[in-house]
Amino acid sequence: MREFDLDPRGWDLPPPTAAHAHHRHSYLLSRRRFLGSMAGAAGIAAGAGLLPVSALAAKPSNAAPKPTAQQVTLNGVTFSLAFFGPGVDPSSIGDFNGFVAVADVQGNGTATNPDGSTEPLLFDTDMRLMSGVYVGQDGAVHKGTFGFV
Amino acid sequence: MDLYRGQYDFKNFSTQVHDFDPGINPYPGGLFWTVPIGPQDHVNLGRGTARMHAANMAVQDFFDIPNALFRFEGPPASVDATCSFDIHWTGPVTSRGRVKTPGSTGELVMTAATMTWSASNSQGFRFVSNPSGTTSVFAQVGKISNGVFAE
Repeated sequence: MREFDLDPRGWDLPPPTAAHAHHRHSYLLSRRRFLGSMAGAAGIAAGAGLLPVSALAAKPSNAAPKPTAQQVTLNGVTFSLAFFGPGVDPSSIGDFNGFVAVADVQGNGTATNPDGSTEPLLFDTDMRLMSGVYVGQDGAVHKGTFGFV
Repeated sequence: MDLYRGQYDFKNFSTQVHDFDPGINPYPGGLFWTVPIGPQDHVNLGRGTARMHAANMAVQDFFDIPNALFRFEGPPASVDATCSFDIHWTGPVTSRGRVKTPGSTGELVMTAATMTWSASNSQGFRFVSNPSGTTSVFAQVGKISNGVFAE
């Protein structure tokens, strides 16, 4: 379980615009750290994952999967987000039964900028595979394969 | 998929220059960075192997993680982009364990992974990863049941 760093005081990025003032204390997170840990983070609430029967009775008009019931609230904004780590269900899909795979990989490569110049850059990724059956937003069981990118 | 110039800065993000992801639909509580992809190779829990690949996937470049989450930069907050990737979970299996997340059951297997990828955005930026020298920071395969399937 990796460190969870949510201290906004050192951020160098510009603040949110007035239109998004409710985000002005936005927590800036590395995908790797943010998605890779759930230890000890204030403001985080993980859902239990059990859906009420009424949720299945309501039948929206598409077969898209429902997001995970795990939720993270950051600065008042709630995301349907699953972490990964030892013992942690990493699926970003709720009501899911199938195989998963998680890859947090780092490396480097070559960027070509719009002006034609090139430069080396570092990369950091959190990629996940989910393949199996799920209860879609239409309430029916579907088979599918999804990527968390 | 995130790009940094010079060094990683996972606290201030001062060095992050690109963030490619498919968005959150609907924002903010919907599917998080998750999109359908074509059929993939089977996950093998015994060997800790799997593969995920895609070509010319439509994504957005939000430029950095904070903006991808809170969308305060721009306008535009993001630009159209595409990416291609090929990830191999290679094994060997180093440990096995049960899922402990409330509302979920299953088994998770620790393994290793390699990845090659490329991306470009509508502003003319392109990136191609170096296939050698990647580091598998965390890699796992598993079999999961959650929600109604875990009851």
